[in-house]
Amino acid sequence: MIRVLIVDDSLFIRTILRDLLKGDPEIEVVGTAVNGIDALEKIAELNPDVVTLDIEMPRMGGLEVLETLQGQAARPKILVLSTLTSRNADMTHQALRLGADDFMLKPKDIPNVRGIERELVQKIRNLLRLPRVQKQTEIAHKDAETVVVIGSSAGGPPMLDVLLSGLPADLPAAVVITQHMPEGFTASLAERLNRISALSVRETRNGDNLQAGAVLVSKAGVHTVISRLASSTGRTHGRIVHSTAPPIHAVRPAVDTTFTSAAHVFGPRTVSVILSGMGSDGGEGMLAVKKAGGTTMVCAEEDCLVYGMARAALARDCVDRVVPLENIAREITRAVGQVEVDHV
Amino acid sequence: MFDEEVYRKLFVEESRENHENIVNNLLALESGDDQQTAIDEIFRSAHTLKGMAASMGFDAMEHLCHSMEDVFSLIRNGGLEVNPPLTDLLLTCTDAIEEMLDAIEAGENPSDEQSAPLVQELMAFAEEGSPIEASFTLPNPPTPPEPPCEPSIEVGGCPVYALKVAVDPTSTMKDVRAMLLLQNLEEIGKIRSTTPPRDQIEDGKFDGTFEVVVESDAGEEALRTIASGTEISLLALSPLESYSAAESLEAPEPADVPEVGAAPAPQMQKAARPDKAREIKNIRVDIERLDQMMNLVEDLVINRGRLEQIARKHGIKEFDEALGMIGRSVSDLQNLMMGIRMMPLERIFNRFPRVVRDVANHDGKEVEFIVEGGETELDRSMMDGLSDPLLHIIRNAVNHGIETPEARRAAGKPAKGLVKLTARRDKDNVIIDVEDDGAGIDHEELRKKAVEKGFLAPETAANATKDELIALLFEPGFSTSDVIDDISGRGVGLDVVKKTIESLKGTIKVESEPGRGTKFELVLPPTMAIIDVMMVRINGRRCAIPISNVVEVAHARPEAIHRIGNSDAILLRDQTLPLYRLEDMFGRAEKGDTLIVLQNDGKRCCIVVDYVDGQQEVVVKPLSRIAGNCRGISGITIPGDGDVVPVLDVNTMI
Repeated sequence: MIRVLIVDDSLFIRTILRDLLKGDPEIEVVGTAVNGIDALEKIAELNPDVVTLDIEMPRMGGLEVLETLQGQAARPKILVLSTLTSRNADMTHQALRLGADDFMLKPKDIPNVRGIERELVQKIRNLLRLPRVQKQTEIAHKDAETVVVIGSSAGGPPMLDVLLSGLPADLPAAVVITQHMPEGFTASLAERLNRISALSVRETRNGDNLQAGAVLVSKAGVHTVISRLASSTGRTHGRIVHSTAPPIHAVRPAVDTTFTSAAHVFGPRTVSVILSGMGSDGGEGMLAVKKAGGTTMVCAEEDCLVYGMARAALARDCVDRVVPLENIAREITRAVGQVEVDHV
Repeated sequence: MFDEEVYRKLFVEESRENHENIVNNLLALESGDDQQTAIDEIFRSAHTLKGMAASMGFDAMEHLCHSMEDVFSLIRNGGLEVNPPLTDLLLTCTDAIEEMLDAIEAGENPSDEQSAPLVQELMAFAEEGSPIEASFTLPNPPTPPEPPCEPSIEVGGCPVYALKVAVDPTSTMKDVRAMLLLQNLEEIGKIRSTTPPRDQIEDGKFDGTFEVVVESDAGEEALRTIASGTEISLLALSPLESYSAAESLEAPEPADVPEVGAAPAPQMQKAARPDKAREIKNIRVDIERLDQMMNLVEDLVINRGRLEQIARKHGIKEFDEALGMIGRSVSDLQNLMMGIRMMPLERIFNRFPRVVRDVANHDGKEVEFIVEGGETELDRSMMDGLSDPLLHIIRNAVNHGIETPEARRAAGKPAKGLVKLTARRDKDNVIIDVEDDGAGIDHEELRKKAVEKGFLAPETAANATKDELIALLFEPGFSTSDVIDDISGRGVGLDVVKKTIESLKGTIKVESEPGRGTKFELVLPPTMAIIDVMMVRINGRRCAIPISNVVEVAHARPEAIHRIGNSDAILLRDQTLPLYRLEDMFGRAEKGDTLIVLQNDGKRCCIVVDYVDGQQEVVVKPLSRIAGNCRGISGITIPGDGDVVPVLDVNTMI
């Protein structure tokens, strides 16, 4: 049983969160707190496994709670729930630096989105299941010759947890994750993923070179274009270019842009994966990867909150494999290995 | 699993609290009180509202609150000053929020028809207030996504750039470098032309530099990144042509907007909100459930009465003792239930400061509004009915009572008028006063009007006392204002106010001193549900009279009863009181030798009864809707033996 404490100053939000968690047999909401002071008392009293923490609260906010907890040896895992503002994006990032374990945007439009509780439940489970990973010290990164591109949207973040915690530290490929997310939050996503992955994870910067064993998370607000770079030895590599072109499918970064440009640069040495997501972004991109001779896989429907993006790819008849979430990391590793065999 | 209705209710309730908090703090802000606390409070409430609206999918409300939050974020950081136009706009926004909440409560999802222009105005304020920090508000503006730009269309409206690129002359792969560059450019745009032509470049036939004209919407930064790399560098980049449409599309260019520096960490809200802290120990109960519980308690009271009657018949000591215990528990439970149903008057008082402000602004008056005793509690069943009459009286006080600043100065009074709303408890009653220090009621004016409008004959009017004249104010159709305006003259007069108060079993009284001000006094019984009554019998039938209306019980001597006109009157200790026999309802009294003197609001009358049964605590149930309103009867009660007994409404008798 996972014991959860809900901290939020709004009774309405507390009720919603409690009800969202109620359906899960493994989770027990052991209490609620209305501000930071209350939260600290309840944490000491109830000893919960996981705390969902609001940031803006009267009397004592979430950041101060994290500061107080920082020195404590045995403290619960903390999931910060943020609302969508640029100010909150900064504070979310700050929360992660202060020791919050993960973050999630407060659920939107709950009455109309089926299965919305799943992301929250998965996040909470992942917090306890996926330990922090001790990084191997200083791996000498070399330019990647193979790229793994991952497209993900609504319901994706907890799946990325699972996927990235399963990738080996010596993956001989660069990974680029394009996750639809509001501006400002992708740095926090990268930070979170970095903690549970053996690989190093960070947000993309304009001009980044793609290196083997390094994971980049597309910065929200710009498209991630992969352009070609040739070294002095004549081998081609990839480089990140941030494009401010208008949103595609109303999103920026668009998975289509990243996938398509990756296919152009890496051709058959491209491994593409589509996870959960609404809409049809990624379908065209995956087709481009397929046409370039790359590998294409989508997550199995039962593991996805929304199957729109994967279905867009399936409709284009360009998907090599449909893979259950727990096997995706293994399949990626195998596909990357196969690329090495096929295209040396 | 998701019961939307439950959330909707919860949502509306909490949103209203936050909405109220915003309004009150906006007013506090305007009055110059503790600015920082008010700003923090507004920010937090807007933030909470936005978050809740988002989770329910009420986009219009989310966007509006988001914009308000952004504006207050700027104010909080000192990037924007609060000024009257901004306050007005923000108050208009709160009105819009209130309307949205009404719509949501009615089960609708409000549209952004009304809020969209407000959002635009707020954003304009935010940008104007601080050009640097404006970018802070921009990342998630609730604007529709820009129309996608199709590079394949010739005059597609995409910006066009000229690039001059140099390849390291020592490079052994000039052609490859150039080709890569062109390919990369094609990834983000469309190449219009090259100098020299493309095939020559790709063959390496150029002397170190070449030029490319490219159409791309990816932004300059992307172009710069692509055009520089191993053995290749960008010499020049310039926008070549730009279409007007292209410019607007290019607007969200992050490189051109100064980075928001580490904004000073805003002070976390430190001021303790006592009622918030108290919330931990509070639970919310649906008011309907409370009513159901109250009904059960009432049934208990009735059945206790029945048990007592049975006990009397049998006279078993043990049974009486047990019954006594039950009786005490039921009384305690009943008191507890009535206590639970009490709500502080703040709940309705909170909306009045805003009303006073609006009316005063509209009339060009200066008014200080003081509220005292908002913590006084009243049964919630009366709360709703009280709100509108009070609103009307307060509007009147500002609109008709308080004079213009000029007139006040001329009269030697401070320019700023005073309206005071006080509530207090007096024994069981709650008394609410609305006082102003305005012009007061002109009795002569009333006298004139009474004759003009035919309420009084000229000779009656000439002799009418002040109180009689003031009582006219509560007559339907009598209004002192010659002009119907949109503040007070809404077709609802003081007559409606009086009726409403009386339907709550309360009374209303006016005192006025010309030139000094007017005072309205509302006296309200604490609760309507359970009262002490005197049980009397007329013609063998029982009738319950609220104890609070009974002055005395006397023996009726037939010789003291006189016929005056159509009705009877009795002389009782030098006082002539009208005498009622209630024969229509109960039939002729058998003996009719007992007299009950009744009083309401200082006026008295008598009724004739046969016997007085005693005093009893009863539950008054309203008449069912089928029976409708019955003058003289405020409800019925069931005193334990199963009989149904009417409760006399003395108020309507006198």
